[in-house]
Parts: sequence; structure tokens; C-alpha cells
Amino acid sequence: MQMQWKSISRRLLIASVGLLLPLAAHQASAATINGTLSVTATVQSYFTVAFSGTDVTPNATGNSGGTTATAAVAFGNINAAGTGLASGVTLVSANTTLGSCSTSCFEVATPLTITVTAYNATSTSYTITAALTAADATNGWAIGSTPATALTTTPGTVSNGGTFTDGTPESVNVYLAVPVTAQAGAAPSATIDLVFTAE
Amino acid sequence: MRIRTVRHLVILALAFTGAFSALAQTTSSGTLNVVLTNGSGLQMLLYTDSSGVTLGNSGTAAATLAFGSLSAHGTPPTNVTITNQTSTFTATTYFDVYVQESGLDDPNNGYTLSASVTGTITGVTIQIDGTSLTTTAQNLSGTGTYATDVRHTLGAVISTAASGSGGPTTGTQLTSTINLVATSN
Repeated sequence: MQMQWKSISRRLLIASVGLLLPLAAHQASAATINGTLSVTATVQSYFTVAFSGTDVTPNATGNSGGTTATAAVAFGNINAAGTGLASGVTLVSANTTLGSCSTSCFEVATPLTITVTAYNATSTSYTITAALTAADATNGWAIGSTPATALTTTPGTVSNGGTFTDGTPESVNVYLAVPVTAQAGAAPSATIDLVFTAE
Repeated sequence: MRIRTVRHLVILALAFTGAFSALAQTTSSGTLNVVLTNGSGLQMLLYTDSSGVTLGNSGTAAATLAFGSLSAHGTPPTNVTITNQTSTFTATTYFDVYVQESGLDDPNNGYTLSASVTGTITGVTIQIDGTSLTTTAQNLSGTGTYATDVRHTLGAVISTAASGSGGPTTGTQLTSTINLVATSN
């Protein structure tokens, strides 16, 4: 009989604790709250172009955001004999023609490296067109791997085909043909517009 | 003696619960005591930060944040900063989280903020305060202060690879939903 009462007492205690534990747990539970932030964005392709070379002074890197890459190519002193030329400048021909320089011209060239880098672009190649910003009635200008096509004020595809691999520096040349009759001290100059279009 | 022991135990058990206590009172005095207990709770509101992108539905628990057009270089949208890494670029802005508490035992303990994303976008990793979010909730801060606008940095780390080569789809609006959870400490 004594054992029975002990058992009853123990069960009551367990029952009491059993009732109290959930209540205690409820009091200690942390409060939580949720919020949602919906984020949207539209990713756009982007391209940059940069110029470099022995006789090239890059001033700015261009990009598809509207910034124009500018660079200066300085041939220095040139002559039909090809002597005393600046580093990087070579005599292509002592007697040729190119564009407006249609009779008895000597032609020099200097390398120009063009690097086009693409971001988030599926295109891997680019077409380049080039044009003179102003006509040159005396001298001939060309750009590309060969001086096959003289530049005019009308954009034309760069002579090497105009296809450049993404991120890979491409070497072309800038060509200048000057009449052998040009007076010493003449300083031919031109500005060439290059336009890169992703294919 | 045994009966007295059991009676004491029962009374002790009943004394621990208000419900049982109320029952005891109604039977002993004929009065009904109604005990009201304030429920503890939190409220979360998302706000536009003074240096961040303007949120849609600012001041609610379900806001939207539109980065706009993002590219690796060039001019970023207003209140968006672009930083470039080797093969990614990161767009960052700010938003504020405001958590209000009521009825907590010790609100000075603050709250813990965790976050996860629903779904993933190829080539884009969403970050808050530098923590890259996944579909599993991660703690961002364990020291949130109630009733204060807490600034958080939202980042989108975007691969510069082409779509189909690990990069995101371009020219199409991408959406990711961040689930924020504040838990009282």
C-alpha cells in the first residue's frame, strides 16, 4: 500500500512537470519575423579598346559606354632612304602609291596593337572600320596588316579583315605614303577614326 | 499522511499554472480572474537607405530593389558602385532594415538577422554585408538593434563571362528574392 502511494505521488509529480515544461518552453522561445527583398538587375555587354605600340602614346581607353580611346602615333623624321628612322618605324617602299599619294611616294609604317576586351558578351570577334576625319589631298594613309586599301573619309573595313579575337592583342600597322617631292620639314598628319562593332 | 502528501503535490502543481489557479479561484470565491498576457512579437520593415537605390514598397516587409542596367565598366546607376575583379564585377548599394519588438523580456539583447535567397541566377551571386547568400539561411548579424534603421550592403557579384559560358544572361531583367529573418536574441 505504501508503494502504491509512492507510485501515485511520483506520477503526479511527473504529470506536473509535464504540464509545466511546455509552458516554460513557450515562455523562452525566440520571436521571429520575416521580410523579403526582391532584387532585379539587367546585365549589359561591355567592350573596351586600347591601343599600344612602339611609337604609340595611348591617352585613353575607349569603351562601349561612350568613351573614345585616343592615341597618338608619331612617325618622327622619315625619308625615302629609310635612314635614321625612329624605333619601330620601317620603310615599306621607296617608290609606291597609296591613296592621294598617287605618284612617286615613299611609304613608312609603324606597328599598332589593338586590344579589344569583352565583358558579358557572346561575341568573340569584332569588325573594325576606319576613316580619316578629314581628307588629305597629298599623302596616303592606311591601317591594317597590309596597306592594300587607302583610308578616305568614308569608313572602310580594316584591311586585315577587321575581325579581332576577344581579349587578344591584334597587331596592325599604320601606313603613311609621302610624295618624294615633298619638301623637307613637311609634317603630314591625320586623325583616323576607328569604330569597333561586335559581330 | 499519504493523502496529505498527495494533496500538497496536487496543490503545488496547480499553483504553477494560471489556468489551474483560475479554476481554484472560481471554486473558492466565485470570482473569475482574467489574466491577459501580452504576446511578444517582432515587426520588420525595409527602407531606402540615404545612399542606396530607392526601394519599391519601402517601409514594408516586402520591398523591391532594382539595380537597373549593370555592366562591368562605364557609368553605374545612381547610388550603385561598381568594382571590378579579375573575372567578375560587383555592383553594391545599401538598404536599411528596421525591426520593431513588442513584449520581449529583454529587448536590449537585440536580434539576429539571417538571410537566404530563393533560387539562384547563373553567373550572379547575391551578397549582404559581404556574405554570399545561398538557399540556406546564413546569419548576417547577431547584434541587431531594435527600432533603428540598420544599414546593410547589398552586392551582386556578376561574372564577366558570356552567357552560356558561366556568365549571366544579358539584356534581360534578372530577379532574385532575398528572405530576411530577424530572431530575437
